[in-house]
Amino acid sequence: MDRTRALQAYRGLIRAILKYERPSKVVNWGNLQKTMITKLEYSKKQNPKNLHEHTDRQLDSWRKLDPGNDRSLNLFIADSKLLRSVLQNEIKWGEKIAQGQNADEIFEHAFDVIKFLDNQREYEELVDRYNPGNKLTQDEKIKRTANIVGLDVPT
Amino acid sequence: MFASLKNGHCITRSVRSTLPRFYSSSAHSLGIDNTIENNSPTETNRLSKTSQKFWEKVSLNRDIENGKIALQLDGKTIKTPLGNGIIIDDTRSLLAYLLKLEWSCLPSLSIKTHSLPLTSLVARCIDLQMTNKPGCSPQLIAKIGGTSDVIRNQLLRYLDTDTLLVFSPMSEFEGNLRIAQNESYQPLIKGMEEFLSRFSSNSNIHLQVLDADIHGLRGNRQSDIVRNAAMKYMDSLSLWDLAILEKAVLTTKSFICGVLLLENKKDTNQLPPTLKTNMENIIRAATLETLFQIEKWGEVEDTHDVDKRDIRRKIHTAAIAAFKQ
Repeated sequence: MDRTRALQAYRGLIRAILKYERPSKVVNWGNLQKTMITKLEYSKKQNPKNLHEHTDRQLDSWRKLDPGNDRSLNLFIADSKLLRSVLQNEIKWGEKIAQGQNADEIFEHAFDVIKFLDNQREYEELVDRYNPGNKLTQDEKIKRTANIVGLDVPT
Repeated sequence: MFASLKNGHCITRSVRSTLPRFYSSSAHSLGIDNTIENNSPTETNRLSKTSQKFWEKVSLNRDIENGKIALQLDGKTIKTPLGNGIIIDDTRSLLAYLLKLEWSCLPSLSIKTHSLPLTSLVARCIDLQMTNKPGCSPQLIAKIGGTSDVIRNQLLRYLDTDTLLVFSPMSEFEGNLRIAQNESYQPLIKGMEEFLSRFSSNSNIHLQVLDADIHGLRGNRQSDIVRNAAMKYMDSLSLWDLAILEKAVLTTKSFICGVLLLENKKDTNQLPPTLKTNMENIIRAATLETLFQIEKWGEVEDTHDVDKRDIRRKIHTAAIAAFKQ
């Protein structure tokens, strides 16, 4: 009984953390993709006489990467080791379940953590959806303001 | 901790001056950063001013000897707005893990005041502990909104017009709201009276409710016996727990809900059985009227759906910070 609940709580926790991490992961991978492509192209230009088979292959794979739709980002959480050590060694939920003590509070708390992560993520999504201007950079805001009155920002 | 910057409370303080009534005797608001400008050179302040990510790596540094965990950016401990390091007991390692998660999942641009709820609360807990050490400069105490006594007194005011002590008239919502309120609030009030009587020499504690059918529209005030008992309860709390109580009370507009949250995250064997509950029930009790309004009039976009998540993330933030392994 408690084992299945433990499993359910742990799975829920991992799933909530994955969802919570995803937006920032996508952004980070996007940034990394950009810098890698610039770097590789720069190194190609530096030595125009060499053959660049290896660089080309790398460039190709970086260009193919689409972090927004990449399922592999859903496969792991960044700190799984730390989380496992916290659950096993600090909260000792394995031991406590085996001894049948206090386990209810721990499960309850695991679900509270899940709810926190989910609601925080959904809250931010909603705020972004209802305030689409928030995410724009200053340049983008100026450009759009100019567009409203039919002008273009000089390039 | 970014509250003043976002809401501009410090600028738009009301200039109205009327004779104070009993319920407005010490009415400057709680939970708001009243400092006009807080220029301590700390990471949290830097973030609130620039809202740009300025670090590469978030990590936890564990000091096994002293049993502490420090939250670090690029190897330097993050400081709270008042300049104290974010260092917590290692009995709260799950909290430390979640703090790290919160910082490592920030988007690089446009970090908002609501992006770091856990850090805000923990920073408040730490700052409150530090400013209540003897010999703290009055300037810092003013920045956090007064000594812990001031905060206790202001929290006490929420018990007078507690969400769980105000009953709506039978004529609203065909009486359904009142029935639901009776069902959900009455046992909690009973349990709360029992709980508070432990902190009083007087065993007959009675919470004064405000019933719209009987009392109509007027103020409400608890007797001195109740106030003293509630005060004693708050005195028994650690400063860390007091900051969490404050967060919960401000979110739910209910002192009772705050006590419920805190006590249900502690050893619940001591608690009267009617007070044993979970976070979801606390939230439901605090938002009961809104739930009935939504049912009758429909959910308003950009308001009800956002508020629903908002209260949940805040209550669960408090729950996570209150939990001790």
